[in-house]
Amino acid sequence: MKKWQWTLISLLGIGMIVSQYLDFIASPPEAQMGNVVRILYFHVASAIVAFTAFGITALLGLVFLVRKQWIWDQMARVSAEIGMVYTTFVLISGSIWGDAVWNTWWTWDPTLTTTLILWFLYLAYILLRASITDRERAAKVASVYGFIAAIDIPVIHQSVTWWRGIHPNVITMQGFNMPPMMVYTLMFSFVVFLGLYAVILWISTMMAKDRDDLNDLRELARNALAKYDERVGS
Amino acid sequence: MIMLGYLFAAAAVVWVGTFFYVVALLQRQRRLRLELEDVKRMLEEIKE
Repeated sequence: MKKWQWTLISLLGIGMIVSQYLDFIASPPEAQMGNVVRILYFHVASAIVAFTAFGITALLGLVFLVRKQWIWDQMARVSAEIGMVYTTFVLISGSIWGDAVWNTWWTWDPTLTTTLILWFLYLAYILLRASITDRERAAKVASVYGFIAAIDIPVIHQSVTWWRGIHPNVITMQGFNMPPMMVYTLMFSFVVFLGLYAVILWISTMMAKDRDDLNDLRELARNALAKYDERVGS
Repeated sequence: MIMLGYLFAAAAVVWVGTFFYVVALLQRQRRLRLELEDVKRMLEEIKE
């Protein structure tokens, strides 16, 4: 690995250690929830990053439709895949928190339900891409679908106020509904999660680009060999 | 009630796993880049 890659990996590692320290040692337990509140640092941070990832998928899909450059489509695809992993993490961490606080692993609360819908929407996005063999058609269809699916993101955010479920509203227009130390911890977790998203997005996009280039070159070589065989045969 | 020790251990396992996943991803990307350069070089040789 190159020096700057080592620097990036080291920074990420340090961020993870500091985040672990802030989440479990520096930040105090909450008055009513106790230590269960620590799940929220992961849960809220990964939820924000998941929404960001799907928002970026929608945006880059549009950029691809306008500019017709493959890199935007590759990035949109990778962002959706990472967003899917983060959403899975949101649902799992939310379930663990729900079991401790609400005494149930799952409830059909509007925020939980719309988040589950988001998970299915992006599962469909990935399956849709995989089911269309023509690369250009798959990219175009996925771009339009990704934009429409992203409508669920503001719905999830507004679901707490629109339908008044039992899901707590931690971040409002007035700010954070928690003490300053918890806000700092949450913000730091968010920065680390976002950094992790950016690093994986960048590496995976490079990989997707290289893999597509490799397939194109193999196709080119296959055609060249076929032409050569034809010439030798005739 | 959730035990802090288990929660700490679970989070640590997730962080360590994620860290090694990123390192593995970087190495895989490097191998893919080398393979791509090999194929490019091979095609150049065929052209010549």
